[in-house]
Amino acid sequence: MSYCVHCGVRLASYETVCPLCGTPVNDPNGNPENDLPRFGEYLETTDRKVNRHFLFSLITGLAFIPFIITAIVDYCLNHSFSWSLLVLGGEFVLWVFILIPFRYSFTRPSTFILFDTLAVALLVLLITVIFRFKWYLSLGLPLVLLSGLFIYAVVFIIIDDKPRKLMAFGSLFFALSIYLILIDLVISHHIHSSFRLTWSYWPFVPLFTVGLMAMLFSRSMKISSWLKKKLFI
Amino acid sequence: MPKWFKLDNAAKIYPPVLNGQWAAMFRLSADLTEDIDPAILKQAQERVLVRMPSFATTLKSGLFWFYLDHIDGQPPISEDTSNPMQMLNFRKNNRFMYRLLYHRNRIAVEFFHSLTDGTGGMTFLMTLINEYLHIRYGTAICPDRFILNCSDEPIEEEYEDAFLRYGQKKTVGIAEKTSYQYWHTRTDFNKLLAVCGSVDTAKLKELAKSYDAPVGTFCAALLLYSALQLQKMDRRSSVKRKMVKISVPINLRRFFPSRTVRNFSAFVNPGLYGSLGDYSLKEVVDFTRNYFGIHITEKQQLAKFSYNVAAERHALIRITPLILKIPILFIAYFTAGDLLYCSTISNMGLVTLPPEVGRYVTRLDFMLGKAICGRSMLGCVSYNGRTVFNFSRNIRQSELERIFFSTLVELGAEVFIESNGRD
Repeated sequence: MSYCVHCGVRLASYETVCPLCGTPVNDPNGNPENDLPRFGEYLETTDRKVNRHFLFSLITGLAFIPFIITAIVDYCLNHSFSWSLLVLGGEFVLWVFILIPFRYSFTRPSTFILFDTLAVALLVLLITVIFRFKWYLSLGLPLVLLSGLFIYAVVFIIIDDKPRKLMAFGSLFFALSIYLILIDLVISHHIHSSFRLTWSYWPFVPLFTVGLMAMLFSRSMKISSWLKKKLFI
Repeated sequence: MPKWFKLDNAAKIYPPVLNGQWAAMFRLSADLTEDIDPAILKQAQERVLVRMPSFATTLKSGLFWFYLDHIDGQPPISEDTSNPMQMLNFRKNNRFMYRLLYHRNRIAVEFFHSLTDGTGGMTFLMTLINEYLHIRYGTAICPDRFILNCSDEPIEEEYEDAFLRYGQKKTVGIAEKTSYQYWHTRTDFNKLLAVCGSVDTAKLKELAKSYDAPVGTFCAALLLYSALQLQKMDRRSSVKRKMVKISVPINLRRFFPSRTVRNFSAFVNPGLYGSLGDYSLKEVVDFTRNYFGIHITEKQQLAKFSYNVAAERHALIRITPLILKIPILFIAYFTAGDLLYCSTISNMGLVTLPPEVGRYVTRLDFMLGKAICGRSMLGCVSYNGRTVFNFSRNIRQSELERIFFSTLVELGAEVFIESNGRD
């Protein structure tokens, strides 16, 4: 029977220090097996995971606060909802960009780019509706879709497909060259109402050439290893 | 028998604050005279879940509120651990919101607080034990205050939301000042340090009587006194002026008759300003007794919980989507909940069992789960001539427990201490 000399409490025989004050227990005649341990021996471990669902709900809920405040101010000043809708649009884009990937996981991360592209397209539509611009269908939407497609291709090549470096390099250059051509065509159609290339063939030629060559060289182990030797940094 | 339940008024606060690192939980355990047979325990659990359908549920979210959905099967029965009340993994637990454990001769049940309160949890445990003894030894089923007959059909009153039943229009506000929080360092994430101190119930009664207070009041006053001593020892001058408060759950069934096994309890938070001077134990006991006399009355408690019921029934709150309610309830829990006290004492009181059951049950324990903020929490229950105080903490410091038990020793009570170690 052991007592803590500091606290005065009687201690279970298996206690080597007082649980209350940490004073060591010294009982030469004591038998630790006199009392059965109060708790089992197995230590349960729990993974310290972030509750994504809870955080997602919390941040989504909190995100409404700035919009509500700006909407009230907007209505008080202008008796209508004008610029406050831009706040909502911006918050929506941020929500899609940041919270959707945080909450959900897809097999291919490039899938998120599709949601991001859609969100940006909707934001641009909102801007054109509020300010009564007329360039959505001729300029805005095509630019957003092309940019989204390009970024999707980049993410797909780099993250989802994970090709060899030379192939990835070549594919990116190839995709960039095509993207620039298409951008040029969209802009020229908007300005001149006809499809014609103005500036894009300057970067297109070198990008396309280098990209195509890199993609072809990557198929040859001999050339790609030679390039690696010559160009490593 | 319904296939789903709305959460009762008190339970609604717990799911929004539920996260990967914390859940509002408590634990009840009983020591029997022989080692537990898990196969028989499983059979007993199956019958009890039919009799008490509100425990055979899982938490789900609707558009406006969380709710409990009925599920079949039963949670797995596993060996008890050295660190009780870890985060309840609903997936591993077959989506049930309580966990059934055993170790040698002890049966323990750990509940998520949205499911039930201490009284409901004790009813579940005692019904389970009676059923277990009936299957193993042929013991008679003895329906009692805490024991239900599993052959009977569930009664609607047993899973009603008693808050809604008794809630009225006259309310009082629940705003309070925050409490002093004592300095601490956290333990490792997976650790809950527990210290069990058992005292002779007769001696405790004698001590309480000498201070002219009921046993429950005396224990609460002792905890408040211990917290005041902690504040006195605290070197931070910024916290000296704060009120030292503790939280004491009240079983509302003593004022508002109900057979519900779901939550039906409220809280009172007695507190004192330590900066006004040194309080003796007698002064603290007198204050606590008077505080309880004023605040723990039928009218006071009815007005207080009616405030929460009125909030739940408010049209604007009802139509607010759950996705917006969650952050609001999360913030409300901290501002109007967790920071209002520095420790909790939950007293189950004196538990008596029918002799047919009581002769197999040697000890009962009641323990509270870890708090969001770092602190020690106290659960106590008296049974079979012993009162067991279970302190549970997620901090390294055990000063509150030391002062509590040392004071009892100074008053002449012998305290027997068991623990799962120090950090």
